[in-house]
Amino acid sequence: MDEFMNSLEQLRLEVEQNKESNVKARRVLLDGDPSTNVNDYIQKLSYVSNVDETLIYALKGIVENIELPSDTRISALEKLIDCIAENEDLLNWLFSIISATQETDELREFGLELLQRISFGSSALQSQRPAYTAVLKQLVTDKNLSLAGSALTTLATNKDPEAQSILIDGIRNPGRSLVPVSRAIQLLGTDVKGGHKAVIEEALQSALGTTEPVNSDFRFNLKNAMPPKENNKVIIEALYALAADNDHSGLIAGIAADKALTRDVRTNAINLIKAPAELAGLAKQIIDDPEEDTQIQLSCMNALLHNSDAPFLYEDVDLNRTVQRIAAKSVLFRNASEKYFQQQNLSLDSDMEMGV
Amino acid sequence: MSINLNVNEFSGENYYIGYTPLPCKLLQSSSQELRVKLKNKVEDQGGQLVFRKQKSDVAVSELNLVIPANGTPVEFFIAGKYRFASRADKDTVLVVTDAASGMVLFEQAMMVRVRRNANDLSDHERKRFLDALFDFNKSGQYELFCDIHNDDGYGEAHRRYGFLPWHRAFLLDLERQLQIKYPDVTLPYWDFHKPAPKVFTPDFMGQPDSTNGRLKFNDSNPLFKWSVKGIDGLVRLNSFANGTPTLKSLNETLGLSNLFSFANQVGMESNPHNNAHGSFGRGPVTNPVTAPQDPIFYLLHCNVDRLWAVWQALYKRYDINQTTTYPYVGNGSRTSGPFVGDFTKDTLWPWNQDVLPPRPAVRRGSGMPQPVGYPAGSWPESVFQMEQVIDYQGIHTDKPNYFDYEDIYFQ
Amino acid sequence: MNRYQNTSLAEALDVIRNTSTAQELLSMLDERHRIFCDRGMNEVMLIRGHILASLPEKTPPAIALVYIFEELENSKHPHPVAGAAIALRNIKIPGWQGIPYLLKAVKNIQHHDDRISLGLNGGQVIVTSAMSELFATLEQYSQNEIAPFYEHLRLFQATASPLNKEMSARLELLAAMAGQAKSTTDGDCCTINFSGGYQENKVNKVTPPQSIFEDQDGQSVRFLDFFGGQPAIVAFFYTRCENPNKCAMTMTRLGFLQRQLRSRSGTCVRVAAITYDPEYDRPHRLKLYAELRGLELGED
Repeated sequence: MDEFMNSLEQLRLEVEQNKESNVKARRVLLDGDPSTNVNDYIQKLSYVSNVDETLIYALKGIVENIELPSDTRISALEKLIDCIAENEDLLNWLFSIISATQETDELREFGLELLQRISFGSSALQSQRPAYTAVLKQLVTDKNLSLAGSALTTLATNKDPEAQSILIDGIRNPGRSLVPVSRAIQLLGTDVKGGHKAVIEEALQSALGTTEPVNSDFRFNLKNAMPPKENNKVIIEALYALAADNDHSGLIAGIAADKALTRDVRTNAINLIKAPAELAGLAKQIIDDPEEDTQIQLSCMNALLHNSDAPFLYEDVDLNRTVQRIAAKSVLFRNASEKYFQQQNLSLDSDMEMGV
Repeated sequence: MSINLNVNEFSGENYYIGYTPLPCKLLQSSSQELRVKLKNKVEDQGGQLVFRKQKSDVAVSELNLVIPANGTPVEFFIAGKYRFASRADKDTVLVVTDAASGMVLFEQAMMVRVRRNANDLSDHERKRFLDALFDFNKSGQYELFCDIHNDDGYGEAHRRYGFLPWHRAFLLDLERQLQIKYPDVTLPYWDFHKPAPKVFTPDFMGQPDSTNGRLKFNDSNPLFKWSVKGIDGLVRLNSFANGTPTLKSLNETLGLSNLFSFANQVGMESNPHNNAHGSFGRGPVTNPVTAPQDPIFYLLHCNVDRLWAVWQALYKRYDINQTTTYPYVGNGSRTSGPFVGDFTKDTLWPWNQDVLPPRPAVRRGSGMPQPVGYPAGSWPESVFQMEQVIDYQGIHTDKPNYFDYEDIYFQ
Repeated sequence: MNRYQNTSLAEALDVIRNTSTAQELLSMLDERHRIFCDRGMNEVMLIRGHILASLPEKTPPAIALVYIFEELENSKHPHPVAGAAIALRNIKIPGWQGIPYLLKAVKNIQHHDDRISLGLNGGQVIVTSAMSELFATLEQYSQNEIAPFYEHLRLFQATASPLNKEMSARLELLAAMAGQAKSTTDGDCCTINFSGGYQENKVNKVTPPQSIFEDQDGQSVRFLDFFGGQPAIVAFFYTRCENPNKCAMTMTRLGFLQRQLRSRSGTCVRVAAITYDPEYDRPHRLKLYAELRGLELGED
């Protein structure tokens, strides 16, 4: 108890000290004494509110002063974040900085990052959405490719149709894609009603390096050479995007079973199988296979433990026998198996032959 | 001779105790009074209890009592010891010994259950929390719970004075629903002012891929199979890596002249709250409509709520009739602002099922879940006024909400 | 052969541009029209916006209004909302009936607006936003028409999330105008009369009585067994619906209606809600969803 009271006392003291140092920093910045190290005082400053108009004016001056070092200008801009979120004029001012191609890359990029930071709940950004979109669309064609990629990502997150077509173009022509292909697929995939299945299947086909069309009937089935490792992220994102659609469960199960693919791809695929029948079949195949990667077998065990349609799995006596057998493999398997039977109110040593 | 314990009018096997002292009774059946000592069975291990004869007394780790004869109870108070919360269910044992001989007369296992820093959780605590969350999602209740925060609910909970109390209730609702099956689980908080290297990992909240934000999980982490509304997996960019997001500092937050203000005055809602959401580059957590779909939402909000609780402790802001505690005492209007939902005497949507304007026209969710099966009272009630969640430890109202933060003691 | 199959968005917009009769454009607004076949949500919304914005002046209001009001009342997509606002302006229906819908649309779109381009009737393409089109239409009304909405406008100003400066100023002007005329008029803003009437002619397309449904307990129910022989109310919904103006609202109202019906003894009306998304909406999900919306589940 004393310990708690002491910690509160200490905290009270620090809060007061912080207030004092803010007051001092504010005074120095308003006085504009050229001999001081401006950045030091900006660091000591609290976030500015819209009520403090004189300080906003001073900080704006610092941001706009091209003579000052970039980090000082960025610090000043950062302290204005809360005002910008609530002030249409300041937001438009920030838009103009971000759009100004003659400005430094650092300041423009930081400006765009600030917009991301305030995007949750900023009233100015809400009411200025059309203007914000206009700025982002202009940035997509900016010579600064980092800005262009970020802007495209934000637009696509908001399901902007023009941005989506730029992403699709990038997936088909990776050389001119503004964002990594895996991200492009992910962004299209989050628009579940967007109608982008075909292009995602196309991307998956190309990442797998197969000539067969990758639709719901596709099986990779070991005939193909292993796809290049850098394609794994693309494959994984395509799986997540396609998993929303029940038609693709066969395709995902096929990928999960495929030993030519990496562990990372396969474990993601295993975790994306929702249909219990599909999962039971795959789990038996993988867990019973002595040649199989132990890690993949464990993934199957965990997927069984967390399947949302568990009662269906429990009816599968063969699956229970498989889970019982694998318990002998190691402590990890034993724990997982025990838990699987506990969920059914059985013990690992139950006699499966007696019927479950 | 038998000894019986009663905590907050409850007798049974499951005792979850926070920092808020709970009234207890000890009874014994013999015809002579009994001099006993109450203490923890094991010191320095597991959760620890403290005792008080009166609620206002200084807490002690051993208490001498005289239990009258023939079933007349002796009364005292029990609470968890500051900074000595349990790490697992029933790892705390209360013993009643004979004051003279030291012989153990009675034992009862308990849990000192408080909300803990997510970065400090043990493997076991982490696993219990994740399992509880996953089970709740599997039951189909999670996504309907998330909808409360969705779109039309946004206006009830955001950009207004009621932001903090509303979210306190929202968190408590989830925590209590998790506790129905996992009574030892509490919501952990992500202290975003300190690095949290053990939070953004594959065995907890996931480790983001740097190019696309797809979270990596360990096989044993149930979040690997996270799925909400048919969308599988989670995406969340985390540009601050193992550092901290750039936010209003702890000292600055606690020094705010008005925590509850929003818009131009900038209280806690804009910064650190909004900016903490925005500090994640991408993913559901960055958009108010989808944010609760990502479990990090609850860790983030739990910390926002904790910061309010720290401020309450710092300046003793518990008296619900004082405008320094909360700026709007009384009832709000339905026709001019500040509106109903911003005042201490207003009931909160959706728990009140009110669908008349300016409340959303849509009925979502049910009343506040009531704790059963362990010692806790019915606060807040199923339909409750905002003031019932403000003084959450019941310091002034004696209506505690039965949750505590591990670093905020009962004063 | 579907003449729209595999057409690009640009080609679909060309089709709209080259369609001049109101009748043909109106037929395209039916969601089952082939122009929407195999298109994602965004394209559908964009096309609907263009169709609405292209409606010519001589469009028969009785049919068009159903589509226009539906978009204004419920949509959260800037294209169709802007299109509906433009259409309402073009068609020039007399009286104030459009006003409550326009105000609802302002509220709906305030977090979802965007900069969009729309093709108008006559081929011109404009860059605009839903909000500015809504206000442009609201500003067409006379002082007497807007007057009954004075209280509504003031409440709206107080409760709505902040609009930007331009829109706030336009809203203030409208409210001030309504306030000036308020004392001289005596309007009623609460009854909406679809003069001319929209004739629904599909009433004979009854669901085959043999159809089997699954209820929230996983039991099969035959259509006739449930609905035969007594009045019934049926609503449609799905739990993943993201628009609170639609499914969640319907179900809340259905729950309210059910309670009203139950409280009046002697009335025996079947109440049922059917999901559009049976694959996802399994019985346990339906049960929870209904309970949370105050619907009593049971055999009725």
